[in-house]
Amino acid sequence: MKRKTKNYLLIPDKFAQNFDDLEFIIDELIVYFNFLNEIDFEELKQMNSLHDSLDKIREEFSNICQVYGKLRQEYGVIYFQGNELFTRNTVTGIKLGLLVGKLERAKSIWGSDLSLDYEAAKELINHFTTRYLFKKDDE
Amino acid sequence: MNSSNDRKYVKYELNFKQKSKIADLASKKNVDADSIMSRIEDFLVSFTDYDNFTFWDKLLSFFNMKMIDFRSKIIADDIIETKKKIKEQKKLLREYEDDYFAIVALGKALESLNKI
Repeated sequence: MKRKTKNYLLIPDKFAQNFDDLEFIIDELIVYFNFLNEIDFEELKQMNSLHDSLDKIREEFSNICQVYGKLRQEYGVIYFQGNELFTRNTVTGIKLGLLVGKLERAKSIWGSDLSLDYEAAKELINHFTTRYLFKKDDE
Repeated sequence: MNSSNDRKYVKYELNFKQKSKIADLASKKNVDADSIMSRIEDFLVSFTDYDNFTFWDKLLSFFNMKMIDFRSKIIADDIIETKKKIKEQKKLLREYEDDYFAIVALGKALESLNKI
């Protein structure tokens, strides 16, 4: 049977008495839960001007986010263009596929009298058909 | 310092948002929510004697720095991946353009069969 999860935390009374805004502290500890084990007191002691360091790291983070945002936007546009071109080639490729029949008929009627490399043409059609009608290779 | 036996506790009722976040954390870590809460309780016990706001302000700033640093590393990795994807996608765009002209040319060459 599944045990019911408790809805409260047991907090040392001394701690609770010293902080008016317990909700804020608990909120923060939940947010930073993954980092609770990373406390390094030596590092903490040395960081006298933590706010300056924090401002610097926030600024760097903001810059990296901007770069990332622009790159994602660029990728989005290029990906959209790629889809458009792929669809255009797929539609054009369907028409090409319909010409295979004509190619076969021409070969049976005129054969080598016609200056056309039937096999090379069929190979090209197969290549485009495989690429645009049976497979989308940039997913 | 009090021993763990004579230490007194108060009940802090979690609000809905906090319970949801804990449930979300537990799900991501594939553990039960109680173990998350126990870890937070243990943390508060170990820091009971650090009762001044300055220390906690510094501690929370420290965590904030760790979190930003962690996220920066993830984004930096993703930037490298996105740059690779953009390069690949640009190569594909060029191929699609070349293919289009080849398909159109081939189509025209074969269509002329009808006129013979």
